[in-house]
Amino acid sequence: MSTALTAALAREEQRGIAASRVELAALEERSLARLRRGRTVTRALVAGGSAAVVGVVAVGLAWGTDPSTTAAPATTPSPSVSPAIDESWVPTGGNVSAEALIASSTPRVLGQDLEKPRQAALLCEMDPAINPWRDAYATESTLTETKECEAVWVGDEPLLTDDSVYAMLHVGADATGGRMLLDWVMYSPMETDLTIDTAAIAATFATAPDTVSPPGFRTRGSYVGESLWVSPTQRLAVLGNASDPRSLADGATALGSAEVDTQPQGSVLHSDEVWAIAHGDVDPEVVLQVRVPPDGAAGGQELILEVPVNVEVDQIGVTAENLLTGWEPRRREDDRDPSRQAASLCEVPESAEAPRMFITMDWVMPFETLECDPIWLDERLLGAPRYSIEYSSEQNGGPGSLYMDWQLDLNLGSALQVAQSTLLVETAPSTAGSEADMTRVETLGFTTSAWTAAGTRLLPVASMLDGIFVGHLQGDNGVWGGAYVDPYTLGDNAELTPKEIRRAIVKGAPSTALVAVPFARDSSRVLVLEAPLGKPEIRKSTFETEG
Amino acid sequence: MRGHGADLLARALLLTGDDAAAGSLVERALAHGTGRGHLADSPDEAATEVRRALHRAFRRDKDAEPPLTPVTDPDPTPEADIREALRLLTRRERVALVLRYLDEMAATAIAAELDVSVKAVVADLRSGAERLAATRPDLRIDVEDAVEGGVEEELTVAFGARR
Repeated sequence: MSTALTAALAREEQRGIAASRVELAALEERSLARLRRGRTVTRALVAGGSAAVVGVVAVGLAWGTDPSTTAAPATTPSPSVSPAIDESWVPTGGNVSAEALIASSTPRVLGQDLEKPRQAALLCEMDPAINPWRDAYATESTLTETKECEAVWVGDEPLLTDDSVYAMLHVGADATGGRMLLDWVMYSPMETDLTIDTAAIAATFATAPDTVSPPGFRTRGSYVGESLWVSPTQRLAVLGNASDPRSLADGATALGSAEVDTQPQGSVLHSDEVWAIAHGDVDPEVVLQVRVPPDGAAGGQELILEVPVNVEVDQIGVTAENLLTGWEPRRREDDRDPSRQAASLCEVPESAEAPRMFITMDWVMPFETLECDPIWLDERLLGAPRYSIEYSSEQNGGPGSLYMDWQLDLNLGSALQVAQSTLLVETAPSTAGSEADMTRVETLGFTTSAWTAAGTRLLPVASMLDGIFVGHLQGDNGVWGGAYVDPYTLGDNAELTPKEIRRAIVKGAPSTALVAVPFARDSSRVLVLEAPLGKPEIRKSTFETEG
Repeated sequence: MRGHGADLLARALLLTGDDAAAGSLVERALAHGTGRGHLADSPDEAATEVRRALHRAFRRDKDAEPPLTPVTDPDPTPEADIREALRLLTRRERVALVLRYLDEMAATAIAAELDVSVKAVVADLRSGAERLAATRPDLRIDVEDAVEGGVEEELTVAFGARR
């Protein structure tokens, strides 16, 4: 026992006790506010091909979308007030700094449309001495404040529009309360060097967006109410005290999530607006408020862009915690049991967890080979596999390419949260494999056996386990996946060829779909459902047919 | 809860090294530890649940860490700042070593406190102790003792076969 370390830690903690007493009253109040409003916000910035990020997300994990869960179009009631507005302004000439945009600002009123579109924004007059963004360095805000700000138009044209954002809104309500969960990804489609404050992006939800209404439900980093308009010319801005400016140039992409909970009707902690959205009674207008940081220190004015978001609304899926209510350990020698679901419980090492704040230009979805504890879940969740492979040989005798795709039905009766799925092919499943035997090519794992001598399972798993990278499969839909292998995707795995993989599968190497189900609040673990796919349909490639 | 507040905030300060981050961590722990529908039988039980929530929340945190809050101690000790040494560790390693050395918990007890596998705790204790031993020889850390020592406690098994 290192008494020196113990003593140093004890001294430091004792110093903290003495220093912390004055903070407690304010802290308790903030905690109670958090309990009442219950939400969290996370964000990240991805510099690395927004198209790639959006592509990964937009590919989705569900097929056969249930029309009943499709979002209804937003309503656009007529404005009740329409004052005359001077629409002349100073062009920015492409300068998108906060200062230039503020200099170009002109008033915006409720219901106003412009002949030539510009960027909707809020201009907030601040007391420089108490501007919460002054000297802010934290990446998560602790404020639950809103401020009445002037609605304005800025710039020469829209900088961020609904085309800049892909978002999913998932909702759910039962006897215990209601919840809404927004995940979004944002990039700039313009070739402008727009710098935004990624730690100061707020999600707002309005159930009657084109009205003037009293203040609604404030939480950290988000707002839910009838409307954000507090007068025909003023809207509420969600303030924060965290700051992390990043440029949206060169395809950089910002990600984030907002979660808002409410207690059931009758509770003092109930919000009608949150409940209406969570219960599916109304589709809200969603607007992201994006702070544009000034060149220098935060001062007397703050500029916040307002970005409309088209959301797809679906039910919130259950998570791994919900599936682990009945299970028992699984062993290699266990017979197949069609009444139960084979699965594995994996701990994701910290080094494997995906970065969420910043990803470089060469970002690709990260995968890891995890050693997992095999289990049986009491109920079978995945069935009716459809599996096919298609091999294309190169005309000049090269290595060719192989495409494998599969589909499974989900037998759950409720939505399920699912991260990126993978495919596992084992050439000698009755032996004991090791990590050295595993070759991973994007979403494909190719190995001798996923079983280890210790009775654990070695599985390839994507480590993007939260936010926009998690789909919410609706109850009657299915899950699908695919893997493509060619010289480019094989990269350094030169000893393996698409032809060898095809040959192994045709000779009977079993293929297993691995469907990753995240935990609600713990990205350090993941539950992987394992579904044997049986023999594939062998397809002839179009290239070969035509050749 | 107020009676335990200073202890909680001090633990959060020790782990985060930053006033704002510590406040946020305690706030989340209070919301999580007291907001899950279960009413604690006693203030001590409530404090234990919040403390556990604080440790778990800290271990799960992913945001970049803010700079250390400068110490304005009128009577500074001559030793090197232990907070700087703790910043050499990942959050997982840091919380495991704090529980091991300050609360004298064994790896199994830490695993129960954090709701993770013993294997993961052992790995965190070992890597953290090795790094601290290499960078702060004055602390005279025995890596094997860090991994194997401490007081065992009755386990609360959340996922039976995992431990």
